[in-house]
Amino acid sequence: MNSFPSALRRAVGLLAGLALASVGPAHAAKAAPDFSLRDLNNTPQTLSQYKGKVVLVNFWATWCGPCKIEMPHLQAMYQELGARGLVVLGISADDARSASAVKPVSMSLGLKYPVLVDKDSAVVSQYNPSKTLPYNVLVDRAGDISSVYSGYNTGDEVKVKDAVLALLGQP
Amino acid sequence: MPWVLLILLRPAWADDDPNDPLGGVATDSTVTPDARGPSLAGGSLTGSEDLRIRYTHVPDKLVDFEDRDILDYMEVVNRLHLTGGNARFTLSLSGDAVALFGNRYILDGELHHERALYTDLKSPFADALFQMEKITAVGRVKAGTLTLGDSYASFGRGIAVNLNKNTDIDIDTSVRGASGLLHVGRVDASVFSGVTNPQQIALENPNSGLHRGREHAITGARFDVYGLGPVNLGAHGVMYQFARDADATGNSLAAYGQPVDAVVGGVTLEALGIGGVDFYVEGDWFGYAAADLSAPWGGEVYASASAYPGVATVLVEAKVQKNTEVLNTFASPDNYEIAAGPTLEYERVITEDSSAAVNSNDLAGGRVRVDLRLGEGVDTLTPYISQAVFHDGETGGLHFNVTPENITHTVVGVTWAKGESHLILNGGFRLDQREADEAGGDYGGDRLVHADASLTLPIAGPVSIEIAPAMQAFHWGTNPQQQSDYLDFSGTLAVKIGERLTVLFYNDYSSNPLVKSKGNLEPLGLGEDEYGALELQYEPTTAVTLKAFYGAYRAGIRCAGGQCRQLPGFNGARGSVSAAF
Repeated sequence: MNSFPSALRRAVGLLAGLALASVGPAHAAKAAPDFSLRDLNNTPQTLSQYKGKVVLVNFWATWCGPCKIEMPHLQAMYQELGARGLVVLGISADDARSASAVKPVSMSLGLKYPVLVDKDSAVVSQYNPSKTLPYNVLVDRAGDISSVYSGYNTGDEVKVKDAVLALLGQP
Repeated sequence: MPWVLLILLRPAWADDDPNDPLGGVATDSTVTPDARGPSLAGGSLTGSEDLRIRYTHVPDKLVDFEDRDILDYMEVVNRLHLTGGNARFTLSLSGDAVALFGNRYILDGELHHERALYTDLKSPFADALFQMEKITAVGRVKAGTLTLGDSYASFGRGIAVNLNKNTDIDIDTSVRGASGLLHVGRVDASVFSGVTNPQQIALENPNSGLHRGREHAITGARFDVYGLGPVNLGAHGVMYQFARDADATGNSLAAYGQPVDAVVGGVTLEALGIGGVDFYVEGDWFGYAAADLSAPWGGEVYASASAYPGVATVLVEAKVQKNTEVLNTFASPDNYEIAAGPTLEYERVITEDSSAAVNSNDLAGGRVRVDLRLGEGVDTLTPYISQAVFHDGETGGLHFNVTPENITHTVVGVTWAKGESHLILNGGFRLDQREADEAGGDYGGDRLVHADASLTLPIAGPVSIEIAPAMQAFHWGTNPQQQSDYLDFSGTLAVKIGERLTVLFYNDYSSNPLVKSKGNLEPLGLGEDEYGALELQYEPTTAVTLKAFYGAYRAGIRCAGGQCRQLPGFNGARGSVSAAF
């Protein structure tokens, strides 16, 4: 009878080790790849134009329920901390066919920060290849990725805000 | 290509040089120089890692071996994505590895059962396979972007071409070749050419019988002119050369030698803020030259208008499509679509019946949705209503009807949030009413009632719960392939304990005879249509999720991104690691 070969243990161990190796602290300086997308008014927006500010890049989609719960918290954070140097960039991961819904959903959520459309997955495939939503990437004033946040559970916005405040420094 | 090399070799300090002929990156004039940190051009390496280990229990028994679970097997899948480079240039690699264990039963030297991992793919191992799924090099300057390798393509609303990541249903088809985007004043020009590169190894679904996908050659170009007052204009064209079979010689470019099979040309007009209304109109014409495509031409017109009066948001969409699905003839067998325009559907409840309308070659209809935002800040109540109406003139094929049908679909819902509590609730009724035939024959209508909800409530201290039930009840009208009425239910109870740990309980039920899976709760005295599972999730950091799952869930059709796929159920145990670094 066939039994799982010893190679199983080695293969699983190797892959698990590789996976767990990535679980360690992720605080080394990592430059955020620049990108250029158009916002809902068709104005080009690049990440690099916000160099010197703290940028929270939020990937979301019109069909993503947890995203719609989280985004009003991001809007409140933007409203409170924008003057201190926080920029929130919402990047819609909707594909082309649902692009018409992006602005209506943004408006119904009361978003005032720039919302960009990545309908051909150009940016999401760089930052968030598994396309987990919502997905937040916090970029510091130097343009380095400071931390990432995958998914959303109630209260996660507090963790994000704490990290933002740490990057903004004292008022 | 010399300018590409120039980008790669440029020093990091060149990025902020305003005299740089390649264009320094734009900077925010409101930021003082002292406030700036180091350049974005510092090198870096980021990535993500996904590991799945699945032990799959197959309830069926091998003939003559009914006393043992021979068909059970184990599967390990690993996906590693790495992106390295700087603000100007990035190189991304995405590789998948999969291995099966216990997938072969040999007794006394005789092979009694085999689950082959792959067929015509190349690997030094019989039961393990590595695929470099995506390779992408991107160079950026202020005036544009050049991409070599794998990239995604969509023009307009995706009617002419729409290839992108659809990881929700394990589909990720890119175009392997070259693409470029150039900004010149008010004009954007984008071009691409390459062959389709579907993801071979599935992360979340079983891998078995993997084979080379057909590599279709696609070439397209689009021009957009922005800022003509409130109006933006666009035009695009796409040329298709389809591969009929996977090329045995391994020549990925073979399809370029084929005659042109199809061309699509389209124009778009967008007008923002005309009397407080945003408009979008697109028209696409499809020309089919190949004899093995079922129509000589096709076309689609799509239009939308959105307005935002007071606390309301109104979105109106309409479309007419004829023979557009023909374009996907040679891609559908490989489980993806080359082009998918707006479906105007609530895709969560698309069934075997309504997917026929989504993929119809003769459909006209529209949808109106009105949302009301009541409240300010994070404590809000947002009810909505959506009404869709379609006429589907196609019959036969995947359609369960012999006469055209008129479809109405009403959906109402609400999103409510207050403090740490929130509720998302959707419910609807859909009627596919078949027209009478010439003899006055009445074929009735198919009826679907559906509802889904997600309620999150804090309980005590660090403990909160989320309850997420969903159901759909389907009643068939009269049709030649008469099926049974059915009820589907799924429910999730998630108990979140602190910031890191979540315990989830799942329950599925389906009486749909088209569902090809068996439940796992018969030992508890429940029927074979009942499924149950338990999962633990632990997040050691914000970027890492560990999961352990035991139990079963049902098979079924699942739609995302305008594409529908029959996904298998699962019965067994699995562990997973997902990490971004």
